[in-house]
Amino acid sequence: MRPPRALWVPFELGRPFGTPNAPDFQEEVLRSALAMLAEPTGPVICDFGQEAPSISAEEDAGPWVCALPAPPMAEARNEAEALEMRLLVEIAQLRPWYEESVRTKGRTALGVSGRDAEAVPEMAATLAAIASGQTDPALAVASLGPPMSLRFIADDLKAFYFEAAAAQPASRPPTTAELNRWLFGQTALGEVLYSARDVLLGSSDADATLPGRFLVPTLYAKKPAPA
Amino acid sequence: MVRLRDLDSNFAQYLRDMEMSAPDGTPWATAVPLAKARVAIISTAGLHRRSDTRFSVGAGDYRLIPADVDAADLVMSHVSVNFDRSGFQQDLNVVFPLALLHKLAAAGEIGSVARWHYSFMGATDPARMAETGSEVGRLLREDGVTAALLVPV
Repeated sequence: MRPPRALWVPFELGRPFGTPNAPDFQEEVLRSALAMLAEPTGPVICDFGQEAPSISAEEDAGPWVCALPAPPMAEARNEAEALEMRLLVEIAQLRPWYEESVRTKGRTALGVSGRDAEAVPEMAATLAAIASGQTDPALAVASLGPPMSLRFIADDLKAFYFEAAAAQPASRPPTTAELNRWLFGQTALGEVLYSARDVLLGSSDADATLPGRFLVPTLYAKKPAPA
Repeated sequence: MVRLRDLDSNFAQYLRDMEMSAPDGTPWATAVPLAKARVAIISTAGLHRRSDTRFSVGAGDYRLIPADVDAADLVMSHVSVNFDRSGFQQDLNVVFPLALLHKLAAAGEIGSVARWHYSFMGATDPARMAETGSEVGRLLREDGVTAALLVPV
């Protein structure tokens, strides 16, 4: 792209206006971009001189934590079944927080798979079945429609987790890194995503490997170590 | 756009090595005064309404987002897994500042908000958007738009 006027901002990918729920700062970014319309000649690029308002302030407020107690579990027949059971219990624990998030924000980003929050346990079971290695990944992916359908199911599960976790009472909102370290480092969903990725990428079927490339961000390709 | 040094080194190198096509030259237009400008947002975040078809890998097409869209109706099917979605989950304005534009219009800081806005899936080679981009340009002109806010994700 060669836009005639460009405002360069230093914000993380996915947040071109800096920080969510920071309307004054977002307006400043927007006004700075629109003000460039007055430039009489160009092309022109300007630097936006401010960092996004920090939502970490970890030294002041302590680390962000998502409370997710491990309840007593029924005995599983094998490791895969135990992981799926942990996943479904986790989802049940997060559901009231997810619902609180939807109630307070009036919206959810969940739904890109075409399914709604009621289908979260079913979506999770689909992913867990692939992760277990006990089902043919090519058949499992094909049964969902276009190959990327599985990736959008994973996106909806991540949205459910992130929105629920961010709705819990905390002295400050979680950072992107904290949410990802929690999901990929501490949850059953993280374990299922890693295993499903490995199963899919090990398949000889191109339609199965395709969604496998889009389940885990590059930055979290390996399970993050505990903080 | 984030600083490359703030990214994971593998991803930063991937972006450095990426071959990008670009149009010849840079279009230039002297703008109308901001207080009279009619502004549209062109996003590359892969946003669309729930009833719309999702973006596919390599898609060069676009989705229409009306100015009165309900924020709760928008979802994101951008192919990349390597950018944050939690900001969008918390606040649409961090990626698609339609409500902020309406506020500026109500305050008289801009002339008006376009009736229609557009969303592309930015992981696609821009060359594949040449035709659809021209089409959107024509639609913007028909809507009386005098300033397009291109918002990459």
